[in-house]
Amino acid sequence: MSDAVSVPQTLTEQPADKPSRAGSFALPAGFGFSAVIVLLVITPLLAVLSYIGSPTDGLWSHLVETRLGEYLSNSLILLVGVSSLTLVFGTGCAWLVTMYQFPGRTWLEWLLVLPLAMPTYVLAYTYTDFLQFTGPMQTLLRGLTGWGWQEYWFPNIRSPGGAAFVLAAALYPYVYVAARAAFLAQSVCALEVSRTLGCTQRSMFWRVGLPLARPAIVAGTLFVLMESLADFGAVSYFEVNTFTTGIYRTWYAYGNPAAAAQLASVLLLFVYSLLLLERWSEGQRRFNQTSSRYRPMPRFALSKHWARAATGFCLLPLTAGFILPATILGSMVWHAQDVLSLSRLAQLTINTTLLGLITCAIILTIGLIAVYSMRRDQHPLGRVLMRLALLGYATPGVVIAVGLLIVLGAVDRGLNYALSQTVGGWQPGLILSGTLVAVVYGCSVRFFAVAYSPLEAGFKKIRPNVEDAARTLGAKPPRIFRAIHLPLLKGSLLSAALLVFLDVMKELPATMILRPFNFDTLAVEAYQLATTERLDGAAGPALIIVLAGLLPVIMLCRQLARSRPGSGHDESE
Amino acid sequence: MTAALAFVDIAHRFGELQALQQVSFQIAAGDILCLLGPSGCGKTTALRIAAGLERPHHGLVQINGRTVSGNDGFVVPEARGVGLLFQDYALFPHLTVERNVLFGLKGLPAAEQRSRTRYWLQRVGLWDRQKAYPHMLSGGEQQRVALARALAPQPAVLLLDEPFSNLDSQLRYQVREDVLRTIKDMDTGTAALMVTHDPEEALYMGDQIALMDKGRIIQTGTANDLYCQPLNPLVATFFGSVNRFSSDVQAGHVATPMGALPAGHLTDGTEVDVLVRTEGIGLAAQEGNDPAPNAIISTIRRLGQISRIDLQTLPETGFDCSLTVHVLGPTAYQVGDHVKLILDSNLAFVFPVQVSGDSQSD
Amino acid sequence: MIRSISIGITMLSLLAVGAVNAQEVNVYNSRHYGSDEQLYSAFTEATGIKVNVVEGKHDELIQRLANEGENSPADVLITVDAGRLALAASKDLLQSVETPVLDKAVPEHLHNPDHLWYGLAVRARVLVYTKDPERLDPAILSTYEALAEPEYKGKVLSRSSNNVYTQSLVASVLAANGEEKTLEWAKGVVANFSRPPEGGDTDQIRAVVAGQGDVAIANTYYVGRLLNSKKAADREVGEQVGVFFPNQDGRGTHVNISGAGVAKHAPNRDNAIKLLEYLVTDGQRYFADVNHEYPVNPAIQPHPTLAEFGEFKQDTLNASTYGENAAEAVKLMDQAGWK
Repeated sequence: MSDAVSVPQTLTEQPADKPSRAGSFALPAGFGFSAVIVLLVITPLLAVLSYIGSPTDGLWSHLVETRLGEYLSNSLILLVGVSSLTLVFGTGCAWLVTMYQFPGRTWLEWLLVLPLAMPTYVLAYTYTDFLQFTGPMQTLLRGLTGWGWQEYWFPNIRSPGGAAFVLAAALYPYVYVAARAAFLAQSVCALEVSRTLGCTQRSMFWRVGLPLARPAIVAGTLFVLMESLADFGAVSYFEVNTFTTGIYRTWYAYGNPAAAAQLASVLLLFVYSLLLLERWSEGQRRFNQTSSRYRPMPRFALSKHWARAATGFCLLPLTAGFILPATILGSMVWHAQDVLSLSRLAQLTINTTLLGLITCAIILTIGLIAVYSMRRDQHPLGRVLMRLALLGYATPGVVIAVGLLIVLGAVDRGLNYALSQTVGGWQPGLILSGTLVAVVYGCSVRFFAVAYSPLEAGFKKIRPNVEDAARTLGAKPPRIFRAIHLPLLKGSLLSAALLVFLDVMKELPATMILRPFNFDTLAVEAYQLATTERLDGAAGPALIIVLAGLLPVIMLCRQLARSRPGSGHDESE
Repeated sequence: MTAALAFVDIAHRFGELQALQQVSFQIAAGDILCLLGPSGCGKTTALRIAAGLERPHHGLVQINGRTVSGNDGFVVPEARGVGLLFQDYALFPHLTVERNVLFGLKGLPAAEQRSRTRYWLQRVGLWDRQKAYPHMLSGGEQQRVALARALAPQPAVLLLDEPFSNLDSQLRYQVREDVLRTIKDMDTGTAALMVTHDPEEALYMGDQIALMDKGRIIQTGTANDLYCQPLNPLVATFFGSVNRFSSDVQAGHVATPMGALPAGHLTDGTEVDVLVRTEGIGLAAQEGNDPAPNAIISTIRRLGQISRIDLQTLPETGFDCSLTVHVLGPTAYQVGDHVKLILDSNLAFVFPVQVSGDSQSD
Repeated sequence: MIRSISIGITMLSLLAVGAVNAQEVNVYNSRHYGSDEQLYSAFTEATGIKVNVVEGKHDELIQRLANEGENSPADVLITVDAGRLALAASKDLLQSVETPVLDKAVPEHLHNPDHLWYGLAVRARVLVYTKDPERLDPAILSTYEALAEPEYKGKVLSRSSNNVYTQSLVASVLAANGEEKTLEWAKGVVANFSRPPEGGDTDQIRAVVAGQGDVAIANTYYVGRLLNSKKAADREVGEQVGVFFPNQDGRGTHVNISGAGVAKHAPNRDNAIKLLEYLVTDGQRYFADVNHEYPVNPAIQPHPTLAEFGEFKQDTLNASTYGENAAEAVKLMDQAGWK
């Protein structure tokens, strides 16, 4: 351990024998605080699940006989299809752009993140419009060949496979980003040692790169799976009935909240066990970077043939997730007859941005407090509980929204009753329901996980010794937070903020149900127009979502490039 | 005179693990106390208790006579006026060298902050690197910044946690010397508590050394005390290699291959361990058979400053054992030479055999 | 900390907006058509009452109304499906309103017997068929029931059972023929599908033209919309299909009613009634002219395109029945394998 040259920036966990850290940090005992946050986040879910006990009038046997098989098989196809596609393309592209030199690499490196700006339902609209039987693609095909209906085979985009394709095209960047960060962070030494031990360039990927990056890739894939399971917009447009659409149908079409709650609980239980499994496997194999030296990653040159193949491979997901749909959208807008006025579009954009910013601020504040308190008091139960709070991300927005309607309605009734008893019969009416508070609350529940994960990772990188040093230098906790934690977390905070902003901007069902009067967002407007069969009009707001998403995505890319260890991101200050 | 830092009967526990028991010591102003011991002996815990980063379950901690941890209350680290120097330096990676040092000076007038920062950075020879970020410095430079940062607020006590273990050996000696001089030159009477597992470092740095094992302090004293008057075999063996053999007390003396040693207060018949430092045995020049040789050289290793000579006792001594001797400088002896060994009784220690005695030896 | 306080203040001020404004009416609306904005601004111009809107899906809006209870700010609930209005009425979310204007404008069978809601516009769920005689002889078109007959094998196009129009149509068949026959019928229709149900009404019409099937079940105004589109390609699609009103010899063609009711706890009840009255009188023009629906008010003429489809006999089954039958209809479609 005599490493004189570089900072030993090892990601060391606190030793296990330091549970009782003394001192009175400004926040109350971490566990109590995180419990409150978890409770706030899962209350809407509990409200929905509270219907579990009520009678289902034999609906289950009907469901088992008729629909349940379809929900299960479709959800399974989505899970398997989306995870394998995102794994192959997300991880594959990340490895290629990190390790090899090929034409377009520098551009592709960040272009590959662009589909983050593309909502899944917008992809669904554009691909359906483009690929369905009456769409331009097949019409052209028939025109050229003279074939008719059922005289040729063409993949139906409105199918479970099509849904998996669309979701994977929109979501693979989560895996790409996670895998790329992990590949960049791995020590060159480990890779070079592996080569001296007889690994070829290719087997290096399987034997060293992939195993080292595994936790990050698993976490990224888990995000994708949660998002896929919770997706409503795309699958309902495709009429691919999954657990999520099943919950909706059961609640409303059958008018049976009990059975819907039971379906939802099955879904949530499944996701929760996935989350715990991930936690557990991470705990089983916690990698510490043993070498602390980071040198610029040397990139391998590829033969002309292979270089072209690499470019092509990286272009595939980018084309599917961004280039093609954005082009279709653009041409839809160009040819549209029925467009929204500019002032309307501006208003929608302002609303969307406002919602995004407020939600960002709230989620980041809550997330920071949660991570901070978890760090102070490492209660094992707290960690398990915190996994619960991440469930929101896997919960369909409609479920969260319905839960919030129930909870906020009850709170409002309670408040009004209390006020009418005390303040001379004054009844203010709705205080929370149908306000921006409700929408922000809904989005916060849904996207808490999006902010929590990068913040948790960021905090993990701050060595406890740095805090201790600050304390002995006379800094009180608020100053440590301001002067040490915040600046060191700047990167993580920015990443979290951008991801949350992107997600809120794309969010649909919760915003739609919970919003106040006259508060339309881009996503809501696009959806309304699309479902009333006016894709022409929907294309405009959809395109703005994509364009508005580009800015945060590009900032995110810059952030990711800077966060590489050894890249000396501090020098720019 | 009140001690700069005092521990009075400190005990601390992590769950089932008894980390510290009956730990007491005092450090006078301007002095350095080294807590020395193998890893896991509790020394770092003691340091964290001094800093206020842990709250002990029992006992008092006093700084300049003021109780900072005890039954009556607990003073948080930020209010204690201690400086802490970490093994990994723990510099704030997002702040420049200058701002790292300024960090602890908040509350002072701006001019004072600037002048002190300047003073300390000049003192550690890094004033010209004030705008650099920690990752742009070498390990030794980082350690010096950390030292300047810790000392700039003029703490009553400086705490050092294995401060040199991340440096390579050349640099270590230099930085060690710098740190020692810096502490000693301070006119604020700052005392230092340093934790280390390296006996040589402790001997070099410490005005006093407290040797710890399994959560207890075994012996406290000056370097000389511990080296020349160890209280038990563990202390004796910790500070260098020893020759060890068993014997017993007869007529107030203990027999060795090199002659008898006084047994002190031990009664006749007591089984004893005799520990003789490798430099406590001298070799006498040989003229024929006078004086009579008592050992034969089996190997010689010339290590530069010293030579290590392994010997086998001759049968006529009544002992059959191998011995190791360190002599200064190169030696003219050859393997196979018969030599006469002479014992320096100041560096030979007699301990009664402990039933479950620690048999750590070379 | 300061930041979060200022955010709190911002949000409180946002709450306050719209809380007290004397001349306004709050609408929960599950009808979202291009005509809406023109309609509301015309109303505001005529009455000086500002219209605040939350649009959403009817089920969710009803859920929201129910959970808000007596604190709800909603004055008027508008839906595209009278079955859902009936559901809201059965949950006691609407209040009875009777005025001479409403009585005069809305015929008896197009409003709730207890005056809990009034129809605003009517759309017929018709058979849209290809005009190509090689593919389909229009003479075979007769009833919804006939769609289950073998002669329609591989010809029928429909939306999925998730769609509320489909649910209401099947609910009306259920009311007419009973459970057993309806299940039988649904199975027959499913067997005749030319492809599994997918897409919206316009998609069904386009599919007929593209040759995916020969008869589609769709609402009249979608045909009207295509025929009056600014795009030539759309008009061409509209011209290649015919509109057939089924069950003319029996109970009549199934119609869907867009309707509105005044919320039980409407804080602006008077304004709500004014809006309702406007919607069934002057506002009718927007339903008829912009959205190609049949006006409920007999005094208003339908759009010329609709007039060309001809007069037809409506199924006068009260819309409350759709609401009551909807869940059962969905289960029957499940059993029949109607996607």
